[in-house]
Amino acid sequence: MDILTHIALGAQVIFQPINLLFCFLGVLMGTLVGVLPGLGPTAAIALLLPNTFHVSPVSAIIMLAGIYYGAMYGGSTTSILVNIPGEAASVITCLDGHQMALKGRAGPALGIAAFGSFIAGTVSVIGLMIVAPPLAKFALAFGPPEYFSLMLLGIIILIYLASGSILKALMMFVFGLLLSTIGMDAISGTQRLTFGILELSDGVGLIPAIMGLFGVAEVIANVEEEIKRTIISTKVKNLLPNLQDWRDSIWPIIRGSVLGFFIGILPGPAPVISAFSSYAIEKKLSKHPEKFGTGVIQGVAGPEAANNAATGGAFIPLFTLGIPVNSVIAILLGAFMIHGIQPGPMIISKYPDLFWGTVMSMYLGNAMLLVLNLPLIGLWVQVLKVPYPILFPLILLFCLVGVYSLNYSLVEIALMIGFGVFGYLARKFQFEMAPLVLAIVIGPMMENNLRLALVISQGSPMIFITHPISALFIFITLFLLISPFVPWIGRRRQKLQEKVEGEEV
Amino acid sequence: MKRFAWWSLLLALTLLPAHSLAATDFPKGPITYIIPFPPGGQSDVEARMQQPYLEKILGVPIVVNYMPGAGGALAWTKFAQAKPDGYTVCGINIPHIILQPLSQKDAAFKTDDLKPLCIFESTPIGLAVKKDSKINSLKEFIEFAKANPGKVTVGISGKLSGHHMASLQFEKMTNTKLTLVTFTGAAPQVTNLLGGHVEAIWGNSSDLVGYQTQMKILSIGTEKRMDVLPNFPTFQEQGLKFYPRIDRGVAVPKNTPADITAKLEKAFLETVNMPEYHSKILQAGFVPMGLNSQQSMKYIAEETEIFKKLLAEHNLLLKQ
Amino acid sequence: MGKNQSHYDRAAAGFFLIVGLFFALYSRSVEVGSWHEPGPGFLPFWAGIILTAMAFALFLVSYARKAWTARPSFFPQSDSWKRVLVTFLALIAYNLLLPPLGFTLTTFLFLAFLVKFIFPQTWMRTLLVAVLGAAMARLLFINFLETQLPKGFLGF
Repeated sequence: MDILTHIALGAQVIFQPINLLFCFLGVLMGTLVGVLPGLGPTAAIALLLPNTFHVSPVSAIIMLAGIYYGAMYGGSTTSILVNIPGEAASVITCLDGHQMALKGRAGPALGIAAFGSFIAGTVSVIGLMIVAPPLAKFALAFGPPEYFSLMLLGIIILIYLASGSILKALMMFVFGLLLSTIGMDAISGTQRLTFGILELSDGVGLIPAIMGLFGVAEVIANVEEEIKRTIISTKVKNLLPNLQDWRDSIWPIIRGSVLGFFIGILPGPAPVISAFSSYAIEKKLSKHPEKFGTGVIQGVAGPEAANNAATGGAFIPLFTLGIPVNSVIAILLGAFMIHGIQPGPMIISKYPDLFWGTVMSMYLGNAMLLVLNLPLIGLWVQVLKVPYPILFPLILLFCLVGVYSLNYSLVEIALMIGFGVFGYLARKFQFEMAPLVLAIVIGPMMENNLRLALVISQGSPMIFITHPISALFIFITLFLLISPFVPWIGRRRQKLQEKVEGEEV
Repeated sequence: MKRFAWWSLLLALTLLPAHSLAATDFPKGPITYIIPFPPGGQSDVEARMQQPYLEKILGVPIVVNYMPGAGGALAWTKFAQAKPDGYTVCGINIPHIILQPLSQKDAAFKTDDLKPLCIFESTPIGLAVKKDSKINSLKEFIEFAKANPGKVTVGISGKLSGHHMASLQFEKMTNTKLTLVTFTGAAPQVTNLLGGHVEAIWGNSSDLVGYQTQMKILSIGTEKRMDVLPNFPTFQEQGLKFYPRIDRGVAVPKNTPADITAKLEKAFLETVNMPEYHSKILQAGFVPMGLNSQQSMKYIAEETEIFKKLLAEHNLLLKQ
Repeated sequence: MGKNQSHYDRAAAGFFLIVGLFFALYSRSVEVGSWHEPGPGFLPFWAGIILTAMAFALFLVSYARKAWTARPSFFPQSDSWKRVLVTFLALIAYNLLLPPLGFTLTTFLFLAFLVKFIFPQTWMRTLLVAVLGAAMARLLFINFLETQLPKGFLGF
């Protein structure tokens, strides 16, 4: 396995003019799609797929892959500027990113998101090159019990996310779990709480939920008062992250990249989970955890890096096993098949130019994205200057169209409005949204895997402990649960709690 | 006056073709091809492969539209109410379109609402065990299952699917009881077998072909051995008249006029009989078919009877 | 004086109590199943019970806390509720009017209405924003991205 020859091969592939063009088109399209709330990479890829029939498979994949990670870049823009996540993975970026924008630091937030994503993308590409096959094997060892235990661990992460009352955060989480059961049960085929509305068969939908909880609710909360949105105007030189920002962000970025890459290998909504986990980890490791949520750059750098790295990690099962871990990769797989390429374990050896070409194009794509996005920061910041009475209807419009364009369903718009009402009230009653979103995201996976594990074990809950990886996760979960009560670990958590309660009014 | 008459006649003659049978004008504009599943799936891939040929034959653009939801029921329900003018066609899957109306309360369509134009592909289902399994043949599998009722975990890709029905039929034929583990699709089903989390799976031929080096294929549901899987026996040759499969086709709403239906049918049949299309399908591990509208309807009717009985035996049949 | 945090918490606890009970009871009708074969009601049942228990806990905790600082009143300004309600109604109206009126017209009306009536701007500005907004949205979504938005009876 001579890495250098492979890189050379890949470079040869990508520097052909058509591939350069397609790479650029892909990332451009991806960024655009990522910025528009609701519209996701899936739609863009499906749209551009027919245009790829007449070119070689390599060119096609290069463009389509570009859309995917381009969308991740774009998603952070609206999160930071107007507190609306461009897609699910950007929900976390809203927390601190938007706060930074309100303090006049939108530029550095956008900048560090762009740079962080670039570094993360690069890290994941390196990972893809070096550790692809053995990692894939590792991923196979994850069965239903392992996934369930991992999700359980996720709940603990949630506790570290909560800045307010843990009880309330947990309540939102359980509520989210219940909401996630609405729809057709995957295992038995029974309809749950769908009231005969077919659109609800696939659940309440993540996008309507996010649009409603974050977009609509935020806007409604803002129209209560006469415009008092004093966005401090930013000078040009404040548009990029300064040295202190870099010092604060470099470790979160590195940690986020590694974390995101590994989570990306596992099936499921990896970018979302990576972003949430990174936020929780950064908060835990920070010397001032109480500042998270008020606009700390680590809260943007880490999660942004994580969600981008997850997109890189998602390619591993595709190339090593031919298995799609999410719907975007599934379309890429379909594109392979249309071009006559059989996905499977042999793909790297049978089509080396495809694999290495794609890998190298990711480097290039990430660089292109950086170059594309940085100058745009100045432009984006101007958006904030639009007077709110005019801006907010436009924001609402974007939410409406974003949701509608997913499945052309009026039901989903209604759901979004419903979530908007709930989100608005939740703010008033001091309940946090993030746990709810996390539950809607991982709820179905948790439930499925719990039931599958029990079926496999023929009714015995012991399966979660007899499987080694699962047992490890359970052990860590229990450890983290008890740790608040163990003095030297618990002190940090208590300090945080006290600080928060003092400020909680 | 005479000139006027001549001009009128001429005008009438030129207008005459416009009033003739609608079929000669069809199609006048783009045709929408609905896919009831998310993009990237097998139905999508095949529609895309057909697209260029169809466009050439019919002379109009073919627009692929995705309408995923409820395992296909969403699209089929909406499609059953679509205008039967031939400008919308929809992919269909068997046994889905048969099973859903029979056993799902909320599936607001009937199998008859969809008039098939053509069934163009069949995916035989096979039985495979994990690579390090102690079972090496179908016979051993049956013996093991008989000796350990309910202990053998077999993965399927969804309830009320071809896999599910195949398993029920198999259990009846061999008098065994298996434990069905229902995954949410073919991808998790395969991954879990590769990881050894279930003993066996009822797998699609395409997946079996793709992963044949990493699992042991005990049997496949075709009548003769598949060329792409020459070393793997069929159920038939091992004594079981068992041909489990999932089929794909395309349909129009049931009241579409006969002449328009015929035109579309012809276009699809021509497309799927193209040698390039054929070979791509075969290579991927599927079996190309070319049932026309009549044959398809007969096939669906036969399968409906079989499934009605099977569902009733397992208390899955809704009151009709 | 106004309400304080405890009141809010109790109201919220009440809400979640009802929700939890609802799911727990509903799940009985969709087969809870057994440990051997968990049915579709398995998770909703247990999760519903847990939520109900948590709601009780919140209720109790709200008494334990001293009724400290009063919370600001629910709506910061006396006419806040009007804007909130009207905006919600506008959203609902959009959803309802979209099929009959079509995308471009509905968008235009929506934008114009909100700009004019929530934080009133001049008619000039309103029209400008509404026309530009609707036009750009139409160009972006229909022409460029080719999403399928309703055409409405006017056909555009």
